[in-house]
Amino acid sequence: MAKIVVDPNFCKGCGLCFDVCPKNLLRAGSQVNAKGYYYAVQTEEEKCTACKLCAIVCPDAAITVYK
Amino acid sequence: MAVKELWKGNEAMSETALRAGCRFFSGYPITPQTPITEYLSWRLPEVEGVFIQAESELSAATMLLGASIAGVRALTATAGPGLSLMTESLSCLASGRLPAVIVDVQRGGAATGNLQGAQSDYNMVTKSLGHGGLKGLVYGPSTVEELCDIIYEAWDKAEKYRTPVFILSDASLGQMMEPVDIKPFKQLDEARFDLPYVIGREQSEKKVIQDTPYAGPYTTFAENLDHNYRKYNEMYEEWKKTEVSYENYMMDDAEYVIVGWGIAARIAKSAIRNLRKKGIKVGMIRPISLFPFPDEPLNALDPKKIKGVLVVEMAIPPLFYYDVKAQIDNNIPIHTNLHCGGYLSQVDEIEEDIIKMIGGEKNGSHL
Amino acid sequence: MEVIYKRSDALSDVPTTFCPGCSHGVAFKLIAELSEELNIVDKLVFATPIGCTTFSAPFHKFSTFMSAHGRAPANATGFKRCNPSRPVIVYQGDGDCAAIGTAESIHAAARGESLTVIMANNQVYGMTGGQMAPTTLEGQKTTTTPSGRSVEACGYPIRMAEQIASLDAPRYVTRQSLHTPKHILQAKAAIKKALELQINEGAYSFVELLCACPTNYGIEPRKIKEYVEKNVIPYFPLGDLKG
Repeated sequence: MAKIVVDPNFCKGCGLCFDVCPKNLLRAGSQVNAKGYYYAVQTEEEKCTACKLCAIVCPDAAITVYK
Repeated sequence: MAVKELWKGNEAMSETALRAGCRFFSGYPITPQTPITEYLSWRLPEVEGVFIQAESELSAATMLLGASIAGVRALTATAGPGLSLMTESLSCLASGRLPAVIVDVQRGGAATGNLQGAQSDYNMVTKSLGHGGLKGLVYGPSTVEELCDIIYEAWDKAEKYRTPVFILSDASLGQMMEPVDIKPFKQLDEARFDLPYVIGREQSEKKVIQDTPYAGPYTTFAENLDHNYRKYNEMYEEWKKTEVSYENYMMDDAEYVIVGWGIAARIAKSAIRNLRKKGIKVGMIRPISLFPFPDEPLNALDPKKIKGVLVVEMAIPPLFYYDVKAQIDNNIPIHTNLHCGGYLSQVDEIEEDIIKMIGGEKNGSHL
Repeated sequence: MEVIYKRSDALSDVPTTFCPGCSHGVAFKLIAELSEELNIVDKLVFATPIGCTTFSAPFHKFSTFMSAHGRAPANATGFKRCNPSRPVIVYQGDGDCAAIGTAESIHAAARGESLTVIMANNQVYGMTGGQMAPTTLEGQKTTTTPSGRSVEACGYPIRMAEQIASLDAPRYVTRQSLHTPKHILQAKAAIKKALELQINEGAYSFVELLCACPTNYGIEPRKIKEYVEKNVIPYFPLGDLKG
């Protein structure tokens, strides 16, 4: 059991997390935040292994990892 | 009985700085300031202060900012070419409202120039500290004792107003030897480390020290700078009421007035004494604070009583002259006695210029 | 489920004004995390440069003082000599450190000041809109080298870490990168080592961080990894140069 949560306040939709996720679970969501960015969301949460790579690469410290 | 000691100006001033609580000096050797740097290189460590010979004056002046932010009384000293390099940090000190003391031991000329005394850095510190047009307190002593008196109070004033303080010395004053009473060590308050511009020694709340007053009651930088610099200007105006100092020398019955500052005024005093022996009623108004400038005593010169003013200055083109001229009644003729480039004012020439003035000769020496 | 990784408490709630994908954000995150790990959140002092991080004080909880362009090492020298109990990070861009501030950088290092200097090398002047930096690569297009940097006209990029490493006083000199999670973790370890050397031994360290400026490279953030691997690392090799 694991998941990540992206805080829409901080995410700028840069996409760096999309490419580091070994399971390809991250993509731009369909919602924009207050700054107009399509912030990242995790799909298929059940496949998350809490490897933390997304949180490590995130320049905006927007990701919390749960295990 | 108190015994005065003979000290060279540069060294007396340096020792007095320590007595005033200075515990940081950063500087770069430059004639005629070098003895200050050399003296403090061994004396500051003796009082557990910090001495750094910086890689340039640019760096030396910048280090003052950090020392000031750390709550320490900081000093630098230089001469003209070094002052040019320091102007960026002078702008930061004034704009960031950080206290520090800067001594300019003036030497002749622009560019590399010459090594003897001059007064040609006057505009650089009285008109605008680097870019931006801000000010600091500026003093022009004319004896070693006065130089020491001024530096002894300099940090108290710097911290009271949160401003840089300048002392315009020169090669003559720096190197001459005079009897001085060196003042005792001041006791400093530990609470200084809680001052608003200080990032203190112990764990403290977050402080952001900026060299420009971006923060304020408005939302844009422009509005806040406009608001804040207006307040700085109010302080500068306030100084005109509280920080002006000057000397009236033989002014009671004077018909001719010499106006000069620093070493030039000192030399002019000899001329005045000689002229008085000949029965000529000449006196001097000697500004000691150069910013704020002593407007009042000059404004007060009555054209019915004063027949002429002679400005004695060691700067060509003249600088101080224009500040004097702006305050003198239009009906009083003003003449100048100017030298520059390390050529000091001469007693006999000053006497001659007063005599020419009495004789009605026109004077256009600066044109 | 429990939280196994979260945003550092040493960062504030203010979203950064850095561009999407900007490496400064990663560097700040690492410094924030380290400040908690080393228990110096209340003590760490940031000396900011002129560049994209000039107004970065709102993003974190550290006391900060700003300096004119290039002058942070001198300013920090004055501060640290008078206040040796507080760890200081001098955070500079490539222009701040290796162009206008070269003398201040070299001499603070030569004197062995008790500072940790981090040079964010993104090969461009980001804040002012993308002009050539002292580390701009040969052939790289910038707004002042629109046909690409020519070595005949502009000389070669400066490898600042190597310059600093040639001095005796610096204890630890390294070049790290932030373009992949693995490199980010290595960079974090390097910064940690540098900070510990300052705190425990009063030593000077220099960490050159290869950063990306996707905006002025003209690429999307997802192309950063490839860009840095292909263009930047061959000229600016990674690793410890000293210590």
